[in-house]
Amino acid sequence: MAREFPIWVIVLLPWLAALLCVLVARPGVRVLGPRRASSLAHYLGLGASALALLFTVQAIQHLLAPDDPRALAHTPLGELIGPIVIGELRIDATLVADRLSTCAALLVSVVFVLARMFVAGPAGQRALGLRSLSADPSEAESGATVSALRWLALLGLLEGAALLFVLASDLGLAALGWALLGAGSAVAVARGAGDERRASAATRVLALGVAGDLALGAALLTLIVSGIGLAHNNLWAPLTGDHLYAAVRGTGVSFADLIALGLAGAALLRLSSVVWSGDSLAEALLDAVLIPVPAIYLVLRYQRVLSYAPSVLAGLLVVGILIALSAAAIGLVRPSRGQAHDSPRSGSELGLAGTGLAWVGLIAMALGVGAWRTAALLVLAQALGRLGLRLALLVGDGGQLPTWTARVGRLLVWAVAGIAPGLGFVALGQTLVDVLTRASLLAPWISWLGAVAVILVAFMFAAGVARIWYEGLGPKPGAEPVAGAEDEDGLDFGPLLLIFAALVVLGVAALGSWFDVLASPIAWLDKVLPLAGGHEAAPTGLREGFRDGGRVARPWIAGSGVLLALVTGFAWMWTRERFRRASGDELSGLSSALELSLSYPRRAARLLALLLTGLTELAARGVGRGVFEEGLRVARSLVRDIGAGLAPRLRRLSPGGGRQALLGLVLGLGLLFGWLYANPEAASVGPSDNYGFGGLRAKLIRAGGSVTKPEPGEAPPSVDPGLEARPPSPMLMPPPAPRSDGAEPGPLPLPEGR
Amino acid sequence: MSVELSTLAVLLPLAAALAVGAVPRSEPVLARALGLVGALAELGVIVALVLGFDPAGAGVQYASVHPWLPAYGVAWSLGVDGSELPLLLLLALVFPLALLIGRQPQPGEPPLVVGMLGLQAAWVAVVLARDLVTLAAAWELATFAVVILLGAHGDGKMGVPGRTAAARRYAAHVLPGAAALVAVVVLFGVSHAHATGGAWTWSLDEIAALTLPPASQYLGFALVLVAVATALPLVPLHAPLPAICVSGPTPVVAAVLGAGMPMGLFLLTRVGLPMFPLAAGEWADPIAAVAVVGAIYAALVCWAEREPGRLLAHVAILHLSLAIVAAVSGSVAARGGLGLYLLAHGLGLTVLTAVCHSLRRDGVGNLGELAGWAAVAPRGLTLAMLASLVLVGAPGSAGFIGELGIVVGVLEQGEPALLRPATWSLLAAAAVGLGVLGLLRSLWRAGRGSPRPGLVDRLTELDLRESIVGGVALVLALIMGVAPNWLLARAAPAQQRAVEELERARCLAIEARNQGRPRLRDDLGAVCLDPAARVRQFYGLGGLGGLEHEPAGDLEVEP
Repeated sequence: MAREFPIWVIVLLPWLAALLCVLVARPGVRVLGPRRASSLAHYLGLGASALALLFTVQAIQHLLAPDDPRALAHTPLGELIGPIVIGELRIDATLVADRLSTCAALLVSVVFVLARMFVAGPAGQRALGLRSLSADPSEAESGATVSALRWLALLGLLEGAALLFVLASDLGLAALGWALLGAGSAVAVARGAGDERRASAATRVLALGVAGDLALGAALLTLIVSGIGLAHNNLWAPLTGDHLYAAVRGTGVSFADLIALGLAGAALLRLSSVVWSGDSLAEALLDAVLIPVPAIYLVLRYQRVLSYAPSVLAGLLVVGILIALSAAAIGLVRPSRGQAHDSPRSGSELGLAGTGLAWVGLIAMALGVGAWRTAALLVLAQALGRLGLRLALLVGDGGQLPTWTARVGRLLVWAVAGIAPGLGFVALGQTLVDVLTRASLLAPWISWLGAVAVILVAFMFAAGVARIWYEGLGPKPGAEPVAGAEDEDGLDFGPLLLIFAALVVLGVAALGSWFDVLASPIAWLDKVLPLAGGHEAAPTGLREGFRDGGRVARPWIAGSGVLLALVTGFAWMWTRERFRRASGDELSGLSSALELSLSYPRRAARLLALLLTGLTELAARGVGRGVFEEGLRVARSLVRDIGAGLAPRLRRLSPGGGRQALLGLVLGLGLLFGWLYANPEAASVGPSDNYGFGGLRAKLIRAGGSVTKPEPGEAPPSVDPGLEARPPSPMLMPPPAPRSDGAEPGPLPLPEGR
Repeated sequence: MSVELSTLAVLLPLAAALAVGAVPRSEPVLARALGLVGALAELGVIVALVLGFDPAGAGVQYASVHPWLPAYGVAWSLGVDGSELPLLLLLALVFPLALLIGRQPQPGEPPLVVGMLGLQAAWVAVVLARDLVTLAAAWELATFAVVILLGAHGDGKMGVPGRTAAARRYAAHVLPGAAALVAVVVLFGVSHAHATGGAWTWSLDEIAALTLPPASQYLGFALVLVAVATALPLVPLHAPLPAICVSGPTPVVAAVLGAGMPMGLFLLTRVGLPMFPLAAGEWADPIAAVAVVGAIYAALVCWAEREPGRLLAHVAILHLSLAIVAAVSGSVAARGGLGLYLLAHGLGLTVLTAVCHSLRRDGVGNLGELAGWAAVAPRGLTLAMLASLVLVGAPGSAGFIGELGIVVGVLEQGEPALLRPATWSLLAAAAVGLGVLGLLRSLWRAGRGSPRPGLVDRLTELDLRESIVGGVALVLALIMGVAPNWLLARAAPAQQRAVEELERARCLAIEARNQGRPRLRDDLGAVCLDPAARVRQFYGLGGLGGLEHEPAGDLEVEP
């Protein structure tokens, strides 16, 4: 039994704020004016997010109570909205708060509070298409204000959806949040009607979102069919291990593999949509928290299933290595045709996309070796780091940052890029340690390959982030200071400073935990995120050579940290040398090589798309219209034409009247004799020479005779002597005569003795 | 009171139709408003009927039996056993919504509303009928009404080009099916008379107590299949559907797609399965296979088709394929999900019909011409995309619960009715998902980007009336998805009974397969004490479920 806590309030608050924004956007702007309506909407959104954060913190306080380890749960209107039950399917409207879900909810709420603080500042207003709140708005801005309020509503919708997903007690309810996030992401990326480039990006986000929905649906179905069910609690039921190890009949594949494939596929598909997020505020939130947190939460929540599917984990490691390497390379080199030719993207967008996807690849690698805590750390670093980086880009707006913002921004971007001792550095270091020291099903050397990949990715990632800074935000040497460079706003500056402080404090704490000096910032999750396998013989257990008791030997940790610090620091300096005075062709050789290598998968994808298009066109036009709809008409015309063509010739061949009669007679007799041959019993009245053709066959059989001739020397078959003494069969008895009164005749008499 | 309610549900639309018919043709708006009032009153009656249904009560409630042709055993017999509640609700919801979509009626035109209300009355009678002759008579009436309505205002000087031809072609397909149903009625009458020594009755409950010999079962089920396959329609008999979706009147097309196609499925579950259990069991796999092949075909078409009406027709065919698999599976859970799935089907397709026909009214015959639709008419596009999400089973909608219930039900309990429940259900569900994805892609492509030159003048926004209809339909689909228990709980016992009866009837048919004449179940005695086990044994099936768990040989089970 769980304790009652109003968890639904955490989800409903942002949704209510969003609903108010949508409903009263136009009348509110008319009544209150653009400025007041906009202020009200900001305060409403900020208040909703802050309240959701407070409720989450309170839930954590309840969970921290040492005397009661139970989780919190909330089922509103239980009498009215009971669980939906159809056969084995059961979906509950209960939300639960345990360690994992509250941590995820806390992260979402904190990021949204920071974002809503930022929105009220000049850069945030600009990002929403509004002038600063301090300026006097004109009537012409009413339309823009209405549009901005709708964007705020979208943010609220997405925040509530993410919170619903992480707090839901079962996957069926969570799927609602998941689907809303997918559809909302596409709307956020599209921004508005009319922008072809954004529409193209939104199409891809929508496709990936729907594909993610389908993958989650497949996992959901497999969970039900396996007997585990959708409730998260069922994962720890006594028979769940048996259910997971059981194989689907006729396939030999275990349910654990199927479920893990669905979950990992859903998470990766959804995560890959960060590639297409642009430079707006909503997309910044998508990139920072709305996409990564639910996706990784899903995998962490079902980490027990993944622990039972080591082959899927091994595949995840390989996919992670490939994604991280290729995306980090694209993020650094920025090939001009790295993307589809019909949607050219700016350099900074490519840089953001590449570095974002590279981080996703690192998360996949961590998950692939069963390092759940490292994945959680990477998500934490992703949420804060990407938000800081993107907010800095929004403040810069393509130009130079104001003086103090630039100083904080530089430190922030260092922390994001993996420069020690920021949280990004610690997360990268932990990934390196885990990939190197944990076993994989594939081969022992895969760990070394993974470690090299992590170092390469760390270099390219740090260089890619540094390039974004030097090309997009950093002060250009020798450039004149821009007007208003000293004009800074606390609402722009404050969130950046807070994020920087959080990254450094959390980074130092995590670094201290390596050497048991401080507690890890995610130590609270240790209980719910055990190491995969958990014992020495586990497929993803710790390798013997790196072990010191039950944990990784400290020299390996320290060595990895030092190596990584050197690599990321060098990457930053290397990039600084090349891109501080960027001319555009610094990496042209690498860019050409990357373009060439990217062209092959692109061609393959086009060929596949062409084949599929051909198939669908064939179905729609060829089979659909051609055969089903027009086929009859065409066949009729064809027969008519052939008939018209043959008619004169047939007429010439046709016999005269006497011959026609003779022909008819012959055909009729043929038919008659044929029918008699096929029905011997009908021909029994006529004479016959053998038993095979009617004749006496039926009579002999009725008399007990045999149709076969006896062999020489064998006695002829005799008729049963008692046959004649038997009474006639009821089958041969005459039917009863109809009664004179018209009623039904009585039943037939039964044979004697029955 | 309950007796009157079921009869009232049939007579009310007819009375409304008469009232509308009395309105002068010069007042089309008044006629439509009056028709809407009638349809809303019918909705109220059916909602009262659903809410008043006691799942723990008698098997058949709201029974209303009046002799019709006593000499021949025909009676006006109506009643509700619970399994038909979702379909009744679907009929009650789709018709008021359908009446409000489409172009404004013009003065002087014969009012379409009269026919629509008559059609609703006929279909409600089909659903409520407890007598085969009543059911068949209502079915024939509905079939003729659909054909006439589809051809309304067709061709001629002021008519719609191609509409008459489409209606004629539709008639050529569905009328043989209607005739086949008449043959089924005759077959049952004769069979019952044979079994009982000359007593005539067409009561569905009494007929269901007949066990026909195998030859009669195959013949009768083939006849039902002819009626069902043309009404659904099943691929490859779907050829007239695209034509009527392209040129038919919008409200009629919405009613045919949203309610008429599920009615075909109802005929299968009400007459085909319980009356011919042996043939239905043996032909379930081929039927499911045909449905899945049709689904794959329709899914492919949904990716390539650009004509809005034809796309609409193929989406309807595609969506119903999973429902066909559910209907023949003999699974209680799948039947439970089927009700919600059909509600999502009706509501979603009504919205899609409104949007697609609004495009056709603006002369858009190719979605490929429509780059920038979102900039010009965002309401229509938004509604169409949301309706597509309802159809594909987006979480939170009725489609989600329905689809999940069907797939899980067929997987878990699909055997022995289906030999390959996993194959058919997963393939059909995947085809539905991929096909609707194709529809979404077409809509998205039409909506995105800047509008083409001239599109602003050419394309009009969906008007407020149709937008409200769309919004209401989607909200209803959402409500059904979030809180379906009130409907599921009422229908569940009847579904359970129906499946148990089906198993028993199949068992009896197996035991009596060597009998040369129809028999009453009571004559066969207690030969089926464990019908499910006997059926499984007869078909050589082992185990208990569709997907059994096999411990993997090389994996350790967790201690």
